[in-house]
Amino acid sequence: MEFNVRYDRTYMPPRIVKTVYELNEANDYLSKGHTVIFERVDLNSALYSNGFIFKNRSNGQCQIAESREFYVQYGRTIHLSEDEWELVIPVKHYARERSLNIDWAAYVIPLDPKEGELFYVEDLIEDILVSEFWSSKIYAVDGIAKWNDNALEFRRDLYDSSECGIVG
Amino acid sequence: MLTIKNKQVIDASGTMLKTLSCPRRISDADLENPHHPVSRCTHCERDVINTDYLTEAQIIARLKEDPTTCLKINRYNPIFRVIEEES
Repeated sequence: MEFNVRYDRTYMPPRIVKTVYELNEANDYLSKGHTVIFERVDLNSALYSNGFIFKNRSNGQCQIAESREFYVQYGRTIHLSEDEWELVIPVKHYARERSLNIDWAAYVIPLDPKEGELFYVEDLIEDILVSEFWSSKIYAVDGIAKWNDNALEFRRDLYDSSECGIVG
Repeated sequence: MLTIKNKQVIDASGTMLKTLSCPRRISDADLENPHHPVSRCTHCERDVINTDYLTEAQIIARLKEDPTTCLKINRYNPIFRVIEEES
């Protein structure tokens, strides 16, 4: 599940840092005078969920489950017995959709950035796990970052797991 | 579905069940067992009910019995629709 940073942008909306995945697009922005920051897209091991494909011996249908016995919300336990379910292969699921073809992306900084200026980054290159809800991973997709004259400094506090919760 | 708007928990019929009135910004670190169904708040010693473990009907019943019940709510729980406060 996607997590969007909770940051009030109504008073003074920050300028937007775009993210590009095509070299031609990056070159277009460079020729227009933008600063373009290339970064590797590193997969985060915390965003993987492990499981198995199980095949029902009666009807041949398959399903993915984290194990033969697992809990679902509201205290129910599901048991996939060996008599009824054949284990086919172990599988992994990555929570955030990522390309298998390229391992880089680039941030396009708005023109004439001021040192200390806050930007809204609409598509985060880094994969960050913010929280979990039962078996669902909640990952960040955007961010707020300060320009320090040669790099973006992200507000890490906006990814605290408490941002997903309300107590009262 | 339960709606949370302006710190009020409202059921599908529009009945206000509870006001989220905790004056502190409580995080998991403030709860003794944040991932348990019930956890004690280290600030006020009250029990906080983790709604991840409850159905919508159970939450409504609990709040009708005691509207001062402290709740821990995950914004990503599909039972809830959180409407951010207007600034």
